[in-house]
Amino acid sequence: MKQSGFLGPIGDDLPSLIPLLFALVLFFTSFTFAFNTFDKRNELFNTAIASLRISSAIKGDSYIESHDEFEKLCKSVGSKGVKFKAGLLNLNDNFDVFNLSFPQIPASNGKVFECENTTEQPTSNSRNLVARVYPVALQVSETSTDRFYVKPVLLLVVVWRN
Amino acid sequence: MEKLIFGMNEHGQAAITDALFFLTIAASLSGFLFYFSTPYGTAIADQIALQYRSDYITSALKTILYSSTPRDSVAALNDPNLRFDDTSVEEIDYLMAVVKEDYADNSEFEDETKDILKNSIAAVMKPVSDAYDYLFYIYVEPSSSSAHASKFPFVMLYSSKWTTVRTHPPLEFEPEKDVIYYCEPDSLEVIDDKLLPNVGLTYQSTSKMRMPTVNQSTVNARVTLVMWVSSKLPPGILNQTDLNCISKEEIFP
Repeated sequence: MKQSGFLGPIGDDLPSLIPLLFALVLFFTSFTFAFNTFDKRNELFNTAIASLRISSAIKGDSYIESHDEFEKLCKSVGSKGVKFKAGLLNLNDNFDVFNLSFPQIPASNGKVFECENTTEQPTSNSRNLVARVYPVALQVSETSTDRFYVKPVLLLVVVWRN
Repeated sequence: MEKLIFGMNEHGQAAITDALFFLTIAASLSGFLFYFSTPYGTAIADQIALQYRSDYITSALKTILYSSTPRDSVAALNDPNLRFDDTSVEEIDYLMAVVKEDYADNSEFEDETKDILKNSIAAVMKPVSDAYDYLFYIYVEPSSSSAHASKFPFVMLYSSKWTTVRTHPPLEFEPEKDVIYYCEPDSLEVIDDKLLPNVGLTYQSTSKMRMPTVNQSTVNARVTLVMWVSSKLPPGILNQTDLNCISKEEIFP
């Protein structure tokens, strides 16, 4: 009768291990979940902020005087850690983010206004894909004379991480 | 016997109780972690969206003001086939030059000028018009030289229409034709205090300009473009006499 119910100095503590282990598993699982959440969202925000920064650099004052000016704006872009493709589209053009191609803007001497830091195309597996569209004014000049007109076009900027 | 049994079980009960206390504390901490991690970043996401929409509306207004336009309201500058030698377009000019020239004539806009403005604005705002409504107006500030001139020579409102098919979750909407209105508000207060408070958070860009008058002077004017997430306006608000909106064009979604 003295021994019944008594498993020993260690055995007596064995049942208390169950809630202890459960508590530890619960805490570390929620800690890992929170850490992963913060990490993923920070990465998404950084990509979104990068897209705003790249768009602002290429857009300038929303007036693009020539293809040379567009190239100059393109070179001013800092794109650390992200890949991007940007270009000008006619207002009525449709675009496919996973198959980007920028048309020749008519009456701009056949030049394509395109800016990128990678030759790859974004795919459905690309992380944090962000697309921004802005209307901008493009000066279209006639080469043989001083005549020009200002045409509203769309600036499309697509940013992603691999 | 009772004293012996009580003495033998005491050590094990204390360990389990400690473990249960530890489980309670760990569960509370886990709950706090989960509670604070779930809405993490919503404020940042809102700020980023706000920044993008502000940039868009500023860029849209600049593009409208910089743009050229064919003098013919039917021809479209955003026609991808437009060329300098296109004989169907006789003359291209700055949009604001066309606007100011018409205003200098009789301090009002002709229908053709209004249509040119409407087409230019609608084309620039088309990328966002499926999700956003907008208001564009030119406001001439009162002065002695413009005493009899219209304060609002041009006001254009783009409003989305839809019917709610199911009012309980999951909500379901049936899109209808979007409508462009021309309005003639009595004052700025009608826009700021009657119309805009009904549409929620707005994103706005304003530019100053000088408008020539009939007597060859100039007056101060303001061009404003306001955008908001598409929302249902209170019934009858657009027909009120101090706002006086008339449907001009219906656009299929």
